[in-house]
Amino acid sequence: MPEAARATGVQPAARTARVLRQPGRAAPAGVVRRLAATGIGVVGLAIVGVVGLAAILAPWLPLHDPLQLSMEHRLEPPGSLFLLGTDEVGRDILARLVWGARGSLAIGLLTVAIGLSGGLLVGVMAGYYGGTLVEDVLLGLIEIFAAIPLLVWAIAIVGIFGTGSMRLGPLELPNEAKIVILVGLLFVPGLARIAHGLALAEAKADYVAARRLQGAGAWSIMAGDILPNILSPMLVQASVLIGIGIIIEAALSFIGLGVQPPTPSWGGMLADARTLAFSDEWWVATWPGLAIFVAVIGFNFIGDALRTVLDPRRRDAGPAL
Amino acid sequence: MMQDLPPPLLAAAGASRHYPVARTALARLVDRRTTPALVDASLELRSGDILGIVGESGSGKSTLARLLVGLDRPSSGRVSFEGRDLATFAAADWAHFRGRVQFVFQGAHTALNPRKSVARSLGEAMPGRAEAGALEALLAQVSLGPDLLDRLPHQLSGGQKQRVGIARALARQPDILIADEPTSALDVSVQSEIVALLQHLHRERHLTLVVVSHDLGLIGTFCHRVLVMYAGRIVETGPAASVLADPVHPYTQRLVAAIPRGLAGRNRPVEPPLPEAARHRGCPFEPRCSARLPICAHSDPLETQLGDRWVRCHRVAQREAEPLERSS
Amino acid sequence: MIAPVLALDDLSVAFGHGPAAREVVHGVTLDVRPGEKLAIVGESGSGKSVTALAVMHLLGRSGRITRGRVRIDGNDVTAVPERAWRDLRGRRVAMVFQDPMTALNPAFTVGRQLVDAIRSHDDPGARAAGKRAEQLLGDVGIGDPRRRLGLYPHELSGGMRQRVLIAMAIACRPRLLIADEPTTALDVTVQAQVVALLRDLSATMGIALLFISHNLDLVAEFCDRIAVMYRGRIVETGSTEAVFASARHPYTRLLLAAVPRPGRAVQAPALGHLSAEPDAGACDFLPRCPLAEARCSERPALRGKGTHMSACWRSA
Repeated sequence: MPEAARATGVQPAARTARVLRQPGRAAPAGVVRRLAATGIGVVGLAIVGVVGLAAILAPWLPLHDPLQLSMEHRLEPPGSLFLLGTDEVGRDILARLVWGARGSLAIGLLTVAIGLSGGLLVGVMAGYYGGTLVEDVLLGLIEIFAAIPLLVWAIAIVGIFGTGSMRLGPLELPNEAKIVILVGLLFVPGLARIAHGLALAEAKADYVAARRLQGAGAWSIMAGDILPNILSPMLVQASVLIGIGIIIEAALSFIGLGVQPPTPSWGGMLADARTLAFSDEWWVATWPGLAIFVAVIGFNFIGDALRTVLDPRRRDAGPAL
Repeated sequence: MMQDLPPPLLAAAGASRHYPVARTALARLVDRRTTPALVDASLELRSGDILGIVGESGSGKSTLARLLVGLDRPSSGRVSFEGRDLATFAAADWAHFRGRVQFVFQGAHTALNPRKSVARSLGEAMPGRAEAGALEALLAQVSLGPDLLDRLPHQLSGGQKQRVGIARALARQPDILIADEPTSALDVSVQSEIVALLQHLHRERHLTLVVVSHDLGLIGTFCHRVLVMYAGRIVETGPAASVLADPVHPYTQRLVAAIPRGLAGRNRPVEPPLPEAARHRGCPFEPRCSARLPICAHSDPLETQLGDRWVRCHRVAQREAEPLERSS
Repeated sequence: MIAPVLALDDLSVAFGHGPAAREVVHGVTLDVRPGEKLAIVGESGSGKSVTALAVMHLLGRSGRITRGRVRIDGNDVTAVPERAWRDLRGRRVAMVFQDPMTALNPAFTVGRQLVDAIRSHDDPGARAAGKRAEQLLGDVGIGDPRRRLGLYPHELSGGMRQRVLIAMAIACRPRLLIADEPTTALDVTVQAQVVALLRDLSATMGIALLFISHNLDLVAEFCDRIAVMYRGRIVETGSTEAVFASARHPYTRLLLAAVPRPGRAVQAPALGHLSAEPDAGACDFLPRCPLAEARCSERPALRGKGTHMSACWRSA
């Protein structure tokens, strides 16, 4: 033992304590750093960074009032006063774009968070109990959920709960909460299916059997062994879904079932500008469309870079075979 | 009068394991077909034994190993520890069992969680909290240095991963170690190091060993007794040295013949490839057997005792029965 | 003098770029004569597979030949671009890998893949190609070849799959067949058969064989010459009899001693700390060598009389 201590210069007790932390898992700061090291990751981080900052800092940025109507300034092209132009009721498009980012981003992130939590819970359980009735029941539930089309679901929810805020016991949920829960639940089946497939493979791994031989319980194994090993591909899926969440929000707002006017939202802006997309007043529809496009690409890039970065096996470079 | 021997440490009696063909629980209600992975396996393990279980892929050796350690339950027959049937175990019995019998997985595959450092994988294998220096001591038992504690599995060589797997199994200081293919996918020199390690542990810590492998040559160099398996059945059992020197079952003979012999084996004739073994009633080795009898196609042979050997073969059974018939 | 089918001259291979670049093969020189069977023996990490991949120009984007030449039938192919390699692979040199399951496409029948291999270089027409495929399956010892052509890879056993891969490799009658641990994933009875098949094919079709393995006993049964590699360098080379009867390099002796033989007790070589790295410029085997001396801090070149050479100061 003395030789070992001499070799590393650290007392044995301290070393045991140190190594019992998890040096293998990437700390969040480390992940961001490594993401930034990949080409796509940099672009993705930049885009999402800009959108995120815009959303967070909206109240403090030097913008026009996004709700301020001004009939004398309606449909003004991009210029020095209104940098991106105005819409058909004279509101500043840039301001509405920045404020709309809040809604789009929040909805994108929250819906995926709900989908990921639910999907992981159901999928990991179904995979761990693969081959048993538990798996069949859970998968059956997933299939039922997956069979409901988005629009039918959305119309039903809005029809039942209306478009105002919702009372849920002591809580007063804003209208947007309905959309978030709605779309979030819709993401669960897809993510659960992926999680199930991944968990099924991991559950067969020898290290899971080894944990059982150590007397570990089912939940300990699911959370401590299976979940971390399927997280990487799941996060990649999730990041792509953020973009889809944004698009779905835009689509719902487009048909009037999402964020209600006058709150700015990218989808709503597109809806209002529907007739102007290819006309002389191109800017009213183009900017929100571009915003959706760029934001979604940004998240997709991050997802791609995440996949490369999170795989513990790829951290060391090595020959092809 | 001879005293009865104490019950064997670990034993299987007529253990069989079938797997359902249908994958989901619902489908199994309708489709009740099964494939047999293990058929009527019996063995006894006593303290201090080194038992080798030899067979090719699909022979059922891994299934048998897993039954012995409680990772799986037999479809019929029983597995017992110190005389008690594993099927009757309550939680406390399992806890006790886990402290006495442990399993080493083949290191090359997924034996270690790829996201956990060596320290973490070993730490969670230890009962209770790990004391200072306990992990280093565990690694030292398998001749590994503490510099490996922070590494992830993909940063270890095949031999190192295998040793960590052995260390993990030793964490609770078991009396019996069952190792599933501990030397496969390792280079020859590393293989001999692992074998030497196992022998060392057997001597110094009085470990009883069961080693599963497809390499009869390797098993023959250090196991006391060997079990040869084919198609889910134990076809021959006996002292390792004598089974290798004088194999009785036709399959064992082929296995022994196939061991590479270096220069001595140059230009020796190799038997031509065999027809694929079809599934049917009777002895599973029958389509490939040069010593087959008509009865072999209909009936699965039982084990015949030949001195210190047990062989599952109709021809051998017949040979043994002849002197008795002649004398009567 | 007939040119050797394969000649490697001071071949070095490195992976990665810039400061992270690692040389994994250092100065390998060897040749394989027509019809000869040469074995490269070494452990994981010895560079034997990388050498084979370098010969076939299959190093991938991060690997490259940094020094030395590869000659096939006398022609220097070191710098030949990938386009031209399509012509060389299959017709001059072919390769069989370790895992038959991943080398075969599970979505196509064995017959289809075999015909694809045949037609990659010749174009005999569909019917003729089918007949040739059937004949090839027979050549590699697969019974009932016509029926087997219609099977999918997962319907065949491991040994059969490996035979199919060998059939694909010899389909266009290459001059050299490289087999990288073709039997390691197979059971021991099947191993013996695959090895016998390679030996017979080499004899009847005159194909030179470069057999890569970590199992000395196995290669000794059928190879003509052996080259032992350790950490990217050849440390001993000679005829099979010479190397086995009187191995000169301590590492070769270690490998020979480690092979399990029934009845012989296991001799585990006493080793230093398993993760020791040797010094650059010194003999790579120094940390593990029982014969180490002072002059071993300078790496010896291959030396010896005649064809049996070894890279050890003590073997002069």
